[in-house]
Amino acid sequence: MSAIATKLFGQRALRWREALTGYVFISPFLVGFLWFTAIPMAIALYLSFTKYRIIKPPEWVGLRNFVRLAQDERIRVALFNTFFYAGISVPLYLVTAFVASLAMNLKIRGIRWYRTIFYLPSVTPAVASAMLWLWIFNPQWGLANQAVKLFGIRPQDWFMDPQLAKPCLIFMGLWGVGPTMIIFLAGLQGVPESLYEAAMIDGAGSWGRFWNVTVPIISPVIFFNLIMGIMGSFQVFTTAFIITTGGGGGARSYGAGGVLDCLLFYVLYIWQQGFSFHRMGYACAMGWLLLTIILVLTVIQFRLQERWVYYEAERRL
Amino acid sequence: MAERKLTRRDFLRISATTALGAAAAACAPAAPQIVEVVKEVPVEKVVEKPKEVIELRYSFSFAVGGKADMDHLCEVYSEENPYVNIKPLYIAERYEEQLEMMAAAGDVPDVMYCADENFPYYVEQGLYLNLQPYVEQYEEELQMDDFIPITLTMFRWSPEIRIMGQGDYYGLPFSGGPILWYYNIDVFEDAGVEPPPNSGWDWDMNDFLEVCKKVAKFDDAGNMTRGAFPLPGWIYPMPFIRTMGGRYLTEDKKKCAMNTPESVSAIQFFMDLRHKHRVAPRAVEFAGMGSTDLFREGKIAMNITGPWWLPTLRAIPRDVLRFDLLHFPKNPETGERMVRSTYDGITVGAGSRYPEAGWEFVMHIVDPKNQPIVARADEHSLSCRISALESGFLSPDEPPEHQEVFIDSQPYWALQPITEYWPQMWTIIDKYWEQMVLEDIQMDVAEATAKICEGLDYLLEQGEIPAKY
Repeated sequence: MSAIATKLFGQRALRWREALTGYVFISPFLVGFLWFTAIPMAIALYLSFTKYRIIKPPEWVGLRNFVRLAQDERIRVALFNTFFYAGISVPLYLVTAFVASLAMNLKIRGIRWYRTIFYLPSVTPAVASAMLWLWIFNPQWGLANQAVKLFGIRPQDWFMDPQLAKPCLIFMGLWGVGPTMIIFLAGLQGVPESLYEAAMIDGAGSWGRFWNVTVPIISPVIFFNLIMGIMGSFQVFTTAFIITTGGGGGARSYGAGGVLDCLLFYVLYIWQQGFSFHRMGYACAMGWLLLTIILVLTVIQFRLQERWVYYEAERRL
Repeated sequence: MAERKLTRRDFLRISATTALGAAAAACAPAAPQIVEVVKEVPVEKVVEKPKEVIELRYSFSFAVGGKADMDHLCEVYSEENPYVNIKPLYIAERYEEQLEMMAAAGDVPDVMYCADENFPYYVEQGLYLNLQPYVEQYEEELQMDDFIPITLTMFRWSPEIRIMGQGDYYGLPFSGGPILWYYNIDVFEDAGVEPPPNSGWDWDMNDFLEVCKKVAKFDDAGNMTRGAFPLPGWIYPMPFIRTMGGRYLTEDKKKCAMNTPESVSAIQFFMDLRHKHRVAPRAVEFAGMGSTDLFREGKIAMNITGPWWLPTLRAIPRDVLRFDLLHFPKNPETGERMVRSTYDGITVGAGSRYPEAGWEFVMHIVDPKNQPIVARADEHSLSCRISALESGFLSPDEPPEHQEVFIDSQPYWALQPITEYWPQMWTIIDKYWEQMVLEDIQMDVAEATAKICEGLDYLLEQGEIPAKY
């Protein structure tokens, strides 16, 4: 009996020590995750039930912030703008990145230079990019209006036109497809040649090989980029902030959102509530609503992916 | 006994323990400074002079060019007061946001720069110390009669009355100024327009409109190639509205006054400058060029702003830009006029451990002998001191020729319609203001101001923007 007990406790102690070793190895991530993500999230959840103006301690108000969320007209505008942006930019972004990756997967001379050129815009600081595109879309002397004039179209107001501001922003986002393109490229390069050969033997043409081999094999990559794209697009902020406020605080921040709030995205509105209007509690409540929305969309995507994402290692019963 | 080697597990255990210990040590609070206070009792006042050197943290937000002057003033003070070491905290951008972060961390500076616009809000939040007892105690040393009276009102507040200018002092002004007209001399000459005599002391809005029509220029297609002035936004239309008889808020600041017939008429006059008279460029005309570029290039003949624009314009070579100043035109019927005046101030943090030392430093900053340096540091603004107005502002060797216009305009300076809900006010006003301004919309002024007042009245009563707005 004592031998069994010794063996049992010895094994437990060994397992405990092994687990501890594992935790020590992942402790840098764990500490960072707790300190910079989990704890702030918990605090934000608490603050969402308070009236908090930063300088004074939070004052418990219960569900008042969430009630106001349901009534706030500007939130509806912000959500509309955000859904509009995400609904168009994500598919467009994915298609553009995918097409670019197909091109970058060609075995031609100088392909590495082309890959670098396509990737470079994504390492440009967001503020510099926003300034550059503001110049391109300048109604007076921007390149965009010079270009449309060539086609006989009258010059447009671009960011100053509520109808065109969001499409301009979406178009701007396309030049940052580099990282997504690289991920697609990695996926493309992982498609076994044997599958293409087998498809060719079976008589499949280019389109057949693409649709029946390439797309299914890289569907997990498409799915990953889709999820990341949804998460990213719902958090659009920097460019809209620069365009509508110039990046500055004070009086410029009161006009965040642009002409007729056409560029008032959800995260920008959170920022305005928290840092312009000093309503941190309400901003935290808005943040949790955003988390919920993204979570629901992600869960939906995960459910839908069972229908179209093919995992090579998965055995479907 | 066999020698025990250091295993990977041992190494990790030791490293983790050391790291945890270092983290625990780093998180420990700093040891508090022990200050022994010795009371000296001169004739009238109790002056506490610490025995040990204290560090007084002073936060301010000037343009980069003013930092050296402010640092110098801090050093002078420290030399004169060896027991106080002033540590300036220069915050170039987003000053108020950073101040709030410091407040959230319990690390508010002892002495702080404060702007008039958000002053009531921060008083309500308990950030600033009530300086009334100090002002009363040191009234003689402060030489209160030497302050420009309107500047003092910008830093008085009462949580009960909630009207700027009434209540206790929570800060003192140090520099600022009104907004007036700058004009491009070459553009005026090109248009064959003589500037009004006496720098426009006697001109009125009708004269102003005539000048605007003469300087505005169009090409054959009807596109504006030169505007009279860029239509200002935010609070900058205030001189037009106030001069033409309108108001933003009622006297008691409890209700919106933009929907009164006088205000509607005044705002209509302002909007007509763009839509009817076409003297101010459209929103997209000259877009992408800042006001300095437009003014320098002669795309606009005039611009309305404060003395803080002078350093920027003075940096432009005189053979490229010649400019001067004009008074704001009067109401042609009443002869009255008002312009926005705004001042920056200085205050003591409510949580400061050394309020007396902080107060003494405040007095140093607002001292008439130091005011010229402070005003120069704050982008060449005007001093708050009557005695230092000329010495601190006029530069005979530099343009413009009639710098005294800023000083002479004092009789018609007016307070901004500041409440503790300043940012929210502007979100409400801007929503419909831009619909009046935009050429494609041109919302009816009466309709727009009615909607603005609906939102503002709710805000002033409830303290938040209406949800359905």
